[in-house]
Amino acid sequence: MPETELSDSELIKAFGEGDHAAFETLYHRYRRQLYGFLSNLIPGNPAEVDEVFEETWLRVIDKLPKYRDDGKFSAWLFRVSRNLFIDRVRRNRPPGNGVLNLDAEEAPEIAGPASMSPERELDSADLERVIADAVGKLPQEQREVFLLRQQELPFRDIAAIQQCSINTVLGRMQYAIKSLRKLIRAVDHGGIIK
Amino acid sequence: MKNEMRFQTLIARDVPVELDRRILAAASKRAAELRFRHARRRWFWAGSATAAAAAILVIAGAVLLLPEMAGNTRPPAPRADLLALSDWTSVEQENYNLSFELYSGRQAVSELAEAGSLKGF
Repeated sequence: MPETELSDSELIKAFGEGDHAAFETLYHRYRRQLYGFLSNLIPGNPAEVDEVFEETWLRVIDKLPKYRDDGKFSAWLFRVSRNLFIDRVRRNRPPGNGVLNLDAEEAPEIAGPASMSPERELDSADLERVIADAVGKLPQEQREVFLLRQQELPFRDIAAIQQCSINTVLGRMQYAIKSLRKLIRAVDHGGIIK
Repeated sequence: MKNEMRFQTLIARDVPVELDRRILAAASKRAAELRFRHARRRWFWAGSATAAAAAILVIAGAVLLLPEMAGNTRPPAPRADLLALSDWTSVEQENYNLSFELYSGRQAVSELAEAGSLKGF
């Protein structure tokens, strides 16, 4: 059976017995998702993104043989990464342009690019840039939920990553979408965003 | 993701090649360590099984080859002269019997004489 068809559990077991190719398959399965998540979690600081990404995988390589897989490897991977990021922030290493506000429910007012005139219609590239910037300014927990959903992680897994209930995760997602929709509507109608 | 926004720039991103190289090198090193650990564990158990089998053989050998230690005694080998008796011809056997009877008779007389002297006759 080719290794690309093996489950995460089977690959983890094989790596535990010293199969390097099994780890390589597992790594390629999740590396882009994780890197995308971190790039948006830590916007404007690619060096920091690289460091957290590398540290995450080194931690996984070290712990993986003893990891008791319950079919939630992706949730564990993202949780390790998130915790490493939070530890760095708590050691006073600000995450680029992001705002760390773990307790806020509502997003702050978001400023659009200064060069944009209200009459100009946004093309899709502009809209993506504005959204990415807006996401970067969401409260930390909402931003995480939103970005993890962008990586198609189920809410159950996001709750495991954030170590909270599914209802809390759903609430955070609701607030995040509300803030972003407000922004999209405002930008789309050519209004000046304060 | 029904009714949720998805944005290409927020989804997957390409990972720098150098990062891939460093991470996979670390994984390769760890895999080698794990293979060594497994092999060492197999040698340990194989060695232990061999040592246990050898110990059992030594004990079994000691039990079988050293009967005094196990509390068994064999009857002593018959003395050559006794074995030789079974090779006698019938004449030799008769001669022996007569001699024995003569000896027994002399012994009996001697014992009687002693008994008489002890009684003060």
